[in-house]
Amino acid sequence: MATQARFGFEQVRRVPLVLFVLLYTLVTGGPFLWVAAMSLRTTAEIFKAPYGLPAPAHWEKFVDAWTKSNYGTYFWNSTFVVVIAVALVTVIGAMAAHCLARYNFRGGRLVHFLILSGLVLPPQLLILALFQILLDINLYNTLTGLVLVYVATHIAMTVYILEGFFAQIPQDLFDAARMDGYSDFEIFWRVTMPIGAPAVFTAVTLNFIILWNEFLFAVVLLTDDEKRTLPLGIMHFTGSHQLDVGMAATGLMIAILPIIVIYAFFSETMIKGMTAGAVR
Amino acid sequence: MAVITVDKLCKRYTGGAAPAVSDVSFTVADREFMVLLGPSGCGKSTVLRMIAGLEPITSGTVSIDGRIMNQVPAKLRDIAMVFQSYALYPHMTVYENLALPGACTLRRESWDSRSS
Repeated sequence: MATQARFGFEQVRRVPLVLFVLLYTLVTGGPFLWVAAMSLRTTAEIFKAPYGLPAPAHWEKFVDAWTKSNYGTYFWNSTFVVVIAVALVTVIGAMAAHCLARYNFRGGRLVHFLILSGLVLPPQLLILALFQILLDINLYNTLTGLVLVYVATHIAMTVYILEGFFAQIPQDLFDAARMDGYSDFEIFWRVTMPIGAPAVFTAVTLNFIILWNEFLFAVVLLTDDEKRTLPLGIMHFTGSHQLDVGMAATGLMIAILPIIVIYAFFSETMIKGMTAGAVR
Repeated sequence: MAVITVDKLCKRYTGGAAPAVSDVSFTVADREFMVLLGPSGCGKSTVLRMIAGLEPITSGTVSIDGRIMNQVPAKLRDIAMVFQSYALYPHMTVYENLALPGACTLRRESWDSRSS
């Protein structure tokens, strides 16, 4: 009898939690489902009934978006910029994090401080200077220039994530590696990187998601339609001279899908990487 | 096996007030089993780390078989060491863990023979 009563109490206690989770799911998932529905409807249909269901579903809109509306170009531009930027920022950031976590060298604290100070700078502050610098070195309005900007602006966070994790790897492992005959670079590549893999995955996933959605630097530093990344391409359809909500929604879905795929694959390792510090 | 001679070994960390190890001298004979005993923080590990080549020596010498090792990097001293936390590479198999020092030595020797 007593256990039954407690069981009942437990159930009641969980009601607010379940309610909260339901509400949260509604708030985050609702807009997403709405966009998904809109991506299959024409703009005329959307204006007639904004919250209507996609019936009939216009799957051909995705083909249209990819071919006629240039989303194909935007998609590959985004892929090019983000993949290269993430690869560079991960390798460079991991090397920096490894050195800062493992070696005591003159000025190490200063370097550490300077890199991490990049975390507190609002990106808007950098825009003017970046614009001028990229003009001077002939990289304004190029994807290469955007890659460099992305790497520079995201090094700080990458180093911050990786250093915290790398510093927790026991020093004995590195001493053992030195005695076994690994060179300094091999210690980084064959000890720090494999052991720090969860943190590296976290950094890769976070950087990928953030850069994939990056808008501010792209809108200022790119002007040609041919060079636009996905966020700019989507904005193009809700600009001042046209309002093609349906096409913008289709573009959003195209932009969102890779993120969902990446998150589905890496969310577990990512969460492991983020919580590993507390567990150890 | 070999003879290890430690002579007037000193270690002072930068910024440290007192020396971590001062004036330690002893000889470990071939096939001798030697134990260093002392309270924690008295410098046992520091001495071992200096013999292994993991810690730079402030003054004094470490010699193995009569050869002064102060400037020889750890990997060339042909020393084995068991660390407090085992220091096994978690991402490698048992075989790889055991084979690693040998593999590094083999690679170094093949490099040396190629370059000479």
